[in-house]
Amino acid sequence: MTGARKRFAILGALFAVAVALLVVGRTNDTDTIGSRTDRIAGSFKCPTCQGLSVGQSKANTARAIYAEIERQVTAGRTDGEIRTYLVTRFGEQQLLRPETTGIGSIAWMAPVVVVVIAFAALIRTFRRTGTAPREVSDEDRKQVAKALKKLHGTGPPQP
Amino acid sequence: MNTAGLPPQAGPSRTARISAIAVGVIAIAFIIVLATAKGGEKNLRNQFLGRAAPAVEGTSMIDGSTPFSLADHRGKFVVVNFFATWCPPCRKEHPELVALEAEHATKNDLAIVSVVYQDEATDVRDFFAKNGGSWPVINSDRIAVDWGVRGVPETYVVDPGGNVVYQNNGGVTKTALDRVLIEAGAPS
Repeated sequence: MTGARKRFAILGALFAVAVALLVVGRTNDTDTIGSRTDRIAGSFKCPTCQGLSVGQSKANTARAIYAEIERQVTAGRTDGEIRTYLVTRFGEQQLLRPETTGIGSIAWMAPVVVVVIAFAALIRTFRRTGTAPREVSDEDRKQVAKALKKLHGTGPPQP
Repeated sequence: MNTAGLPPQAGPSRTARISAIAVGVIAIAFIIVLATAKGGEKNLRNQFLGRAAPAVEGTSMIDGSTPFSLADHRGKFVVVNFFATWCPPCRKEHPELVALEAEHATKNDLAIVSVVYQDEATDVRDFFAKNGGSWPVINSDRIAVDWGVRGVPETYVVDPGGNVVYQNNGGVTKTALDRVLIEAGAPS
């Protein structure tokens, strides 16, 4: 395996590990009523507070919304259904995490696009450096000899 | 390191240029999204204004037996008032609602319902006994969340077709409600 391919393989492995950690991190949530309520309440802004989520705030409105989220979680509604319910009542601007549809999806897609572009650029760069070295021309030899002579007063050994 | 005599380095590669352009486009898209985001005053606008009113159903806590359902009041205007006895603007606006109820009592064209928000039942009963008002009072935070209420007092007018035609955040006056009712087609 060439050096470039080895580096490429290491980067690929690191990327796979990072993705795996993200997936495991998301699915490892213990989906109790309390944790689901906290998760949804944490993703929704308190309508009457500055910079606090419904889960963090002790304001009357936040407490009422928290109780409603808990009631709906207990009733078996999905996270998506509950978020849609809240957005219908208080507006999309209350979401601390942008929607995955419409204009809000840009916020989710942009990092993925950046990562894909960066990864493509890396692959391209490694492929270039991984190809066989081009033939050294007489002009190259002259320039190297000139530079070495300037530095050490001697030229490279002749082949 | 001395680079004298070596050829000048090549400029940025085509891939780097494309990457830079892509990142730039994404950054501009972010700025556009943030610049066009709704904020400030618009946030107070209720999502149901101009649309079908959510349900208001329950039993009046004043007598503990009178049922109320907004759906049963189609054909009439309904004033839906979210309030609490601990809220000073709510106490201040109460006589305005009492006067409105008295004026429409004989016309039978308007109903009032209050939805209590985070309050004690005994305080509410005492408040109505002392300050008047014979309309149903429902004790339900859930209805307030269902309506997207952000705080008290908030007052809404539902037209005879069941649509929300008016929203008021803060203390409401009879004059304001009279004007809304006339504009919405109520007989004066």
